[in-house]
Amino acid sequence: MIKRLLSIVVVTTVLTACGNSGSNQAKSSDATDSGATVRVEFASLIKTPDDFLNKEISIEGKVVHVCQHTGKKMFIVGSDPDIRLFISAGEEVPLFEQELLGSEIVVEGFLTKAEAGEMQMGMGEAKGEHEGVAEGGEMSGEACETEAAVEAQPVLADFVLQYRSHKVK
Amino acid sequence: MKISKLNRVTHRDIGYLITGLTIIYALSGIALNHKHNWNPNYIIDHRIIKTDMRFERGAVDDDKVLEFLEEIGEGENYKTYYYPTGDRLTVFLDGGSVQVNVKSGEGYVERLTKRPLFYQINFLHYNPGKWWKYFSDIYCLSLILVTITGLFIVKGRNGITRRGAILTAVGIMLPLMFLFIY
Repeated sequence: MIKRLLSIVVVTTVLTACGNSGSNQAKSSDATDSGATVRVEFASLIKTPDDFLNKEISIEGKVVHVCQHTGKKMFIVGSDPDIRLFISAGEEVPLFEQELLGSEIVVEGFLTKAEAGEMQMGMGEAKGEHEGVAEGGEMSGEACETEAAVEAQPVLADFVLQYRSHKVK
Repeated sequence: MKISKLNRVTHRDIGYLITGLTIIYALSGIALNHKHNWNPNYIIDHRIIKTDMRFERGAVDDDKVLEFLEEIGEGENYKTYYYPTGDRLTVFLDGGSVQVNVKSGEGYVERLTKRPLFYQINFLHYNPGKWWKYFSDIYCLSLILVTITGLFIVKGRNGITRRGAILTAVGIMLPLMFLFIY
């Protein structure tokens, strides 16, 4: 019984590892072969964001904020520091690492409109989380300020990039 | 094989198999449960700073920022800076950042390090990929199996027909009470 179970565990683990890497390779080769991912300059996205709505895009930017508690939200900027793009972690990554802060990255994902309350939920969640941290008001203010700033910016305020993958430059 | 023996063997062997994952999920569950009281993934250190340097918009560049970092003892770790509209200048370092209010000169150095053990187990708890999701579904089914088989291991007055029945009923009533109250 034990040998049988161990065999099943080993086979499952191997299949899981192969399946995971295999599917990632297949995904990236699909993107390359079919040309489904559109390489976008940040300035072009700011100028005509609707042209890229509901498309797989690849965009380069500097990471200026990663939500410290959930790690599920990240913001990047291009040459204009006042226009941020909200990137939401999906199933591809459990959380964004804080080590990404300040890094120039090329991120791929699906550009969509943020659902009603998606950013606000993030604000409320960030506020509640950061209020609980005994590090002082400065940190909670900074986290909420980023999301409030995104809401106030003239473009991309209601856009979200559903994360697929990224490369650090 | 008799049903009782099959029950016992299943409980034992599946129980051994899921020991590691149970401890991982339980520990990270406790950590994440209290995420309003602490950061379960990172150890965050703050150091208050004060500078008399002035950061005029348009005059801030890497040299100016490096001069500032030298002043506060962080010149070795510079990555880049971020200065959007407003009074806050952010300087990104390897392993942290510096936030400074350019009007008052007050700010802080924030250092982040991954919380040993907890970062890794929380990473698993968050489902790192869809295959882990299916794997953890199998784990949860195994947990149910271990729980149910465990009900029928002990016989007699300490088994499921008497003492076990009472304790199991209490265990079910507690969450129901919470549902009722909240």
